[in-house]
Amino acid sequence: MIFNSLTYLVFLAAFCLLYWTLPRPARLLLILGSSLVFYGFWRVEYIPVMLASVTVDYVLARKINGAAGARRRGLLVLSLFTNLGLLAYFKYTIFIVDNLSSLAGLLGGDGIAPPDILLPLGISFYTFQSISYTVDVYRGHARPERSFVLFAGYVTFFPQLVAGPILRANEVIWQLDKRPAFNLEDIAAGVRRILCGLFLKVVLADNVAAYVDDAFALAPHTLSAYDVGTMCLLFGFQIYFDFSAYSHIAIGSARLMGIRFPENFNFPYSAVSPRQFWQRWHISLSSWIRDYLYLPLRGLPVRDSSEGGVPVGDAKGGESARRTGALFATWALMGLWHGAAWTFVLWGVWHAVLVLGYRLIAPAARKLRLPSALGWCATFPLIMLGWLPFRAGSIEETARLAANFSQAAKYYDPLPVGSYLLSAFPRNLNPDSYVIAAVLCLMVLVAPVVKDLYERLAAASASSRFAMETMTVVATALLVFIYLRPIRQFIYFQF
Amino acid sequence: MLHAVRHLGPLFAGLAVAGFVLALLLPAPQVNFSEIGLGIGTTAAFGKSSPSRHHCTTVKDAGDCIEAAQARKTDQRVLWLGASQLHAINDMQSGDRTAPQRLFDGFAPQGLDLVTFSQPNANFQEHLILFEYLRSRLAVKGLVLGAVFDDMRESGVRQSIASALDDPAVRRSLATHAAGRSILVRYGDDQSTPDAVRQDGKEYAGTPAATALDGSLQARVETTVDGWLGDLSRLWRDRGRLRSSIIHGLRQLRGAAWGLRNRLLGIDSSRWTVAVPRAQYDVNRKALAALLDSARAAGVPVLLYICPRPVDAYFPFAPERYAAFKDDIARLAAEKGALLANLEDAVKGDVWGRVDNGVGVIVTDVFHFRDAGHAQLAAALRPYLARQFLGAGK
Repeated sequence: MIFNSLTYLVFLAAFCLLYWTLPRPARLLLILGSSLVFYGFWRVEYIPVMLASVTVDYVLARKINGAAGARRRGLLVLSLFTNLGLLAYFKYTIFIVDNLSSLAGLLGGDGIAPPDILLPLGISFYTFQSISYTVDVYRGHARPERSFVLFAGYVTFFPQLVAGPILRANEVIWQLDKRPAFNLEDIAAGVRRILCGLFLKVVLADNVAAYVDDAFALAPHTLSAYDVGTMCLLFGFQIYFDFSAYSHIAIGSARLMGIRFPENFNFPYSAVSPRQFWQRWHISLSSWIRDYLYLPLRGLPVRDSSEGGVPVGDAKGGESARRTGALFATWALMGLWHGAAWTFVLWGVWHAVLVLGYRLIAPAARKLRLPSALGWCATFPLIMLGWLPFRAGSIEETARLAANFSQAAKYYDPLPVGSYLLSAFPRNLNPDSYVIAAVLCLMVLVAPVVKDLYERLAAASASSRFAMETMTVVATALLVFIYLRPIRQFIYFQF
Repeated sequence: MLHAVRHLGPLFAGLAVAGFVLALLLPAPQVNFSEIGLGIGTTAAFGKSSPSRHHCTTVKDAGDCIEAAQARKTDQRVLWLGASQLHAINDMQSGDRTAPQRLFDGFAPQGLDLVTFSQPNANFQEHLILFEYLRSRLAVKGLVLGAVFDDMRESGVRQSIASALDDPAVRRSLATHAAGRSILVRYGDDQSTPDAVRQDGKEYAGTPAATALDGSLQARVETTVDGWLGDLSRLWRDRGRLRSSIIHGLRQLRGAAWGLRNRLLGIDSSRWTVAVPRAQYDVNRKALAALLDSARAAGVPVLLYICPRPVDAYFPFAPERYAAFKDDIARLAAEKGALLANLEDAVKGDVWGRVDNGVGVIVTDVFHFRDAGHAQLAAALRPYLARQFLGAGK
């Protein structure tokens, strides 16, 4: 089910009504049943795949808990094999076959026809969640859940099922098990978060998306350096609005049930370094990568929380081959998690390069006491430029678009005497694109200040808080009412 | 009680105020979106007063023109695809006729049936789709295409034309060339141009409500609930108009901001320049080439003409770019076997309308003219039409 729809709003209202009236055993069944209905509204045929993954991990986690030594490790490997096998089959088979086919073509052989496989919605998210559960049980960070309904409810819990946040068992299962007391504050906060998410999605993301699609439909060689820069900016904002919208709605929906999810975004474009960016962007994924991939690869102790993002202060011993290798392997795999294409790997590697670059220059920057604003000035454009392979259709298109930055002719268009100076800067996109990109960049600068001011005003007195919250609801509700249409999926659905 | 007011009060108060504001917005003056950008006192006239409909806009009302054309039982049918110049009449008076109306009336006795389709800010991608859609439906024997330099910067395909891509025959035809395939990739999978970004004068509302749901169970439920709410509430039904009004308001705000900038910086707002981006030009040029190829393959002769522009008024395009455009059109016509007519100077005198140039300055409208201008355009085109489609003067 797509969040930005009437269907979801009706479904959520009906669910909440039942949730707060049914007794505990029925409530857990309601969570599981509703989650399956939620999933089935998109594709019923993939429910068994999800339930198979859930059942395997439920059984194996219980067995892991009672086993020791090699058997314990073997059971974990079996769980990983099952989950990663499912992911590999559904998500990467076509990619692998395509690459083998290209290789065969290079060697003079015949191409291989790609199989017809449809990616089950949310598989990247629920398999990662399942993996985190069995690994946590193996590590002793979580206890195996006795109730299948409760465990299945945790993995398939509809607010986070198809696009996260990726939650840890110890963050959610106890909340599902022990229903919190009905609280009006939770209801009000939940509705506000949902409104905020819908605003980001239907008012901002979907409208920016139209400009992005128009721009990327143009032939790369015809575009100027300014066009490509603007396209990166616009797509960077589109994906941020889109994905953070999903997280807002997921967090808000859970809050309506009295369940708290950790935050998934925290003004990522205000980050003053690439590392800080990953502590603010898709926090649950970067934390997952940290605990189940990066830190184990580095041989460092892991954590058991989906908060915090990438590690800080793990630089003991300076830059080593293992540390750098772990960084690149982690980020390349994170790129590949986003999509089965080399463009996503390139995106991941780009971020690894940024983090490595930051690691190398950070000590000198600290010594020189450079202002953090300078860090933002370097980080923001580089992060935005990184979205190019993420959005482009292929490595070739990425290279063509990126090449526009390296040619002088893509910066300057000689014009006859008497033309306006601005006409010398070649621009090919819809003129509104540049204005929108500029306004959104300005918003990045002012958003944290506005948020701070809002909170201070709201905290000043009960009446000012009432007024501020009312005005926010008026503005968001008005625009959401006018723009609510499921005309576009959330970008992260495809991952 | 106090607890409930503290937490839910702002929510209910906010929703109530939002509802009140919406109710206030509804009776607001309706903006006629089909006439945005046509200039001051300029009216969209589609020859509806004619007893037999021959001038339509898009796929939306194509059925009317197809039905009327079939009733006229003429073998020699010529399709004319163009932009708003064909349907806009400045200072329209009773009895005024557009050029398409005049030529339709003039050629009917000779057995030539001229059917026109025009849209504001039309581009050649849209013309290409419409031609493929109408070719067999109207049994087209000839094609007239107007080339407007300004429209070479137009991007996107409006929903009411993109809907032609549902027709398998149109999809098959477009799939035979790169320009068509590009259109199919962009607009062929229910990814019709969203309503937020089109230029003035294009339809703002129209994207189907549930395009992202892709034939799922939710799509059916969503369409049902959406329809049910539409039946129940005028507020819900009018959301498309409200979205359009927001875009219109933002564009006016942008114009005011540019106007203020020009005043502050001392920029002469009456000598502005409209940029025609090369990338967008390239897309439309390829679509025109594909259209000419498709017509030639179907044995449909083409008359391609460069649209009139005022001779004495400021023309807001870089002269060398406009000259290159004319050369380009001439080259394409020669390469693809189309008859070229350069009608840029065909409409003379004080017949052009007036328009706000977007920054609050009233200037000569370089695209639309009064009834007399339509008479001049019709007179200029008549010999070319006769030569190309009736064999006169060969």
